[in-house]
Amino acid sequence: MIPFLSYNTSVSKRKHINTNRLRVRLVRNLQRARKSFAQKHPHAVELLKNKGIEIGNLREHAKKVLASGLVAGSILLATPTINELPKDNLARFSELPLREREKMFSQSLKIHLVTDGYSLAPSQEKEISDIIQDQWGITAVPILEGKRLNHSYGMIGAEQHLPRYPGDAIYQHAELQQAGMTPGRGAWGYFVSSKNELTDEVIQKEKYYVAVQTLYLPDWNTNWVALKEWYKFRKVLVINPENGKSVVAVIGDAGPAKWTGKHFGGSPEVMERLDLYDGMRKGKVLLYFVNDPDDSVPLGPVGYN
Amino acid sequence: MSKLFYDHLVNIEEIIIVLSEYDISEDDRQQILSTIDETIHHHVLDIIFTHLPREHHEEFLEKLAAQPHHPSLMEFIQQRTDWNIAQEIRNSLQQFLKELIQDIHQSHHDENQ
Repeated sequence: MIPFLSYNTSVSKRKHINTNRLRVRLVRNLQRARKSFAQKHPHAVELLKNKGIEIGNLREHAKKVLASGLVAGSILLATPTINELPKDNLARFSELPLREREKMFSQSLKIHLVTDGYSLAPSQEKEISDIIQDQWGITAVPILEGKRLNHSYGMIGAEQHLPRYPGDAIYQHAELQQAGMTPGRGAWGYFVSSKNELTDEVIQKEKYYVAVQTLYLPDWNTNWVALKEWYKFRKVLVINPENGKSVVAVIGDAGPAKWTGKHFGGSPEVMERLDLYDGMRKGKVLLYFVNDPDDSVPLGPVGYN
Repeated sequence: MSKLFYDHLVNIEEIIIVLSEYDISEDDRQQILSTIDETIHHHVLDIIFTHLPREHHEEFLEKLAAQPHHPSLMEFIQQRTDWNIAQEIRNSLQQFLKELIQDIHQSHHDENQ
């Protein structure tokens, strides 16, 4: 069944029709279409069967998908049945185990990550924003206050810890000490000027930082003073679409260099939470700005709170 | 009821308006539209499987199974073929609907004979 509209036409003005003959004609058309399809695409018939889809029940299938809650993204329904929309996706997904939520999130994202390289169309970026909002309740966008990075989707590589204050040492970092610490400061300098000023907030910022390629922004050289202030510790959401794991982080450093083939860098903790810490220590991620004027979205892995 | 990824390419309202000119019970009307709908599914998938290279068929079906309503399915197809699939679907369905309207009018004449 399709989202047919109701047209109120006065019964008295309606013309008579031989409904049986019309039905016979339509069924013949349908049978011809079925036969032609089966003859031309037998492998597709088999594949459809394996997926449990009958062509005649495509809309029914769409409805089941919707009802099962597998779609976390934008849900398009005909206006006449708008009351069938799930009442509150976020509340419904919140009740599921985290692993299930991540799996669904990953499935939804992959639908939109159809690209030969790393460039996403604005429509794709928007759909992804909607999925993030639906599933995690986080407003994450590729463009914020007119600013955007050269990539919202790209390769992230593992970085080392950053020194938080003069004299900071790797053994003073609580986790993943084996990752080491950069010999120099991050792009914004030290987080604080001394160990005495170290707060939980600062510790979290260093734990969950990313490096982005601000140096390659088209207006960086002409407007770097203002841009630096804007990007400094700007909150971002980093998503591993392969497994649906996400981390809220801050922009804590600049890089990596173009020649590395990477677009972003991730702190040891960011990479670890995204399941990218072992092996190649790199992977494709989505990186969106978090629109969080009230500073209410906590740093760290998403879904644990 | 839910939408499908290609609904924007089909002007089904044209048929609904034509049918509304005739005295057809609600049950018959739903049955007629349902048969037309299924025929359209076959036409659309026929065009897609004809022009989409074979190696992408399974991936397309996976996406169709996961999100049958989603507009990105058209993007997926379009990015993998040189053919203007959307236009092909539009043209084919326009012709199909034109013939269908003739069938409906013909059934009216049959009734009057």
